[in-house]
Amino acid sequence: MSLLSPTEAVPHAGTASGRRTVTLLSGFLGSGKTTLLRARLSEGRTVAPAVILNDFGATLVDDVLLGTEERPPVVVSGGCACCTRRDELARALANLLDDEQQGRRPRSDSVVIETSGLSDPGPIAFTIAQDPVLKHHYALARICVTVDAVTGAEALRRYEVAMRQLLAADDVLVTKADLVPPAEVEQLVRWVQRLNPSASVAVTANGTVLHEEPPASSSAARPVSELGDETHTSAVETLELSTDRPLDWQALAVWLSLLLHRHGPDVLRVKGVLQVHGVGPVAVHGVQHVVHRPEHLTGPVPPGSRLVIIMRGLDPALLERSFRAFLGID
Amino acid sequence: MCAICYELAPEDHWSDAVSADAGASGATVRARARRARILTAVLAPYGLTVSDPGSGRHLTIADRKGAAEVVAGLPAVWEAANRLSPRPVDVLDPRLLDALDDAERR
Repeated sequence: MSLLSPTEAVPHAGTASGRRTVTLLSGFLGSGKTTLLRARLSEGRTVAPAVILNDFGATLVDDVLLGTEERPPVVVSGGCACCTRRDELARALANLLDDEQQGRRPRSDSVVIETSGLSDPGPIAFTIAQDPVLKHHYALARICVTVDAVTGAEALRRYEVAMRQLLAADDVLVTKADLVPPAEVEQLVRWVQRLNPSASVAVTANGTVLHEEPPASSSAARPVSELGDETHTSAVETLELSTDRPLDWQALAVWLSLLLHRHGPDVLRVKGVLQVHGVGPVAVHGVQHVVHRPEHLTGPVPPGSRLVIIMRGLDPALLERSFRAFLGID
Repeated sequence: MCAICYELAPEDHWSDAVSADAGASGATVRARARRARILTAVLAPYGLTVSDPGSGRHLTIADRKGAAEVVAGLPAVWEAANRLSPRPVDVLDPRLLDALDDAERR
């Protein structure tokens, strides 16, 4: 699990940017984010990450649970870091840099942002990617999302933001697995994999990982409404686009930028490793309409290009036709 | 803003990261020409033309009646194209895809 060491478990680890890595720890209200983070921090790694804690309420208790004397968590409270407290999140990240440079805080090469349970990861990712200062110092590495084994399925059905969190995830952590029968945990894991096949799924209890499953990925577009009449998920589909030929970056960039310009709200997630003609392997990573600066990869990667798109209400056959047509422009 | 020509520079866009990182200046010129060529193919079915003055970061998008906009960066290209085109420029537009398929077959 890559929660506190984002480069450990990333298949395309070894990016060449040198910026501090940011891990977003998201998940619906009460889904076990802080428990998980406490367990990870208590493992006593040599270099602990800086922690930014965001809570919807004005009064916090989690900061006491997560703090150490040397590295107290930075608190952004009284609203969500995706909307009302977005500027404060940017300030908190900038202040971390200042504190490190002034020697008031030891340098951390990684930052964990625990978001409020009602935060949408998309705008937070946008803040990190687009802020004129922050984007040169921080790179979003992973989005880890907790799903409560007891109440998570119901939250996903009822709350749009819970679904947005899940679909944005690189790693899903099914928490509180000790509180429900294994068969129910298994059913939830399968559903989560159907919803977001590009994410790895780990089953946890009391912050301890019991077992992990790699990304399920997908070989074709498929709907994810397998558990009855979920109105929130019935139009969500995953499409995997692949090609064995070296990819024309300009064609891909024009295609993807027009797709996001025209249909951005319906594109929930874009993620891929591409073999770019004349350049080599490049990782592309987007949450909703926000695409992060692509990263050149230095480690070994599988041959060919694969781009996974999680979308809502778009015709996958037409989208694939469009992808091929743009790549075929002479 | 460029201190020499006073040209307003657009924000960095993710689509510019890969070719810019490729290194040699020749690669950048080729990438720019390739992008203009692709945009020309995509906007032609909407009655629009694309021209690259070859300096700065700007492109000119024009319609057949002479209206034109000077833009920098892909997001600005799509905004201008939608203002100049009688119908929305859409990556899933079947008429656009038919035109691209026809061009590939020729």
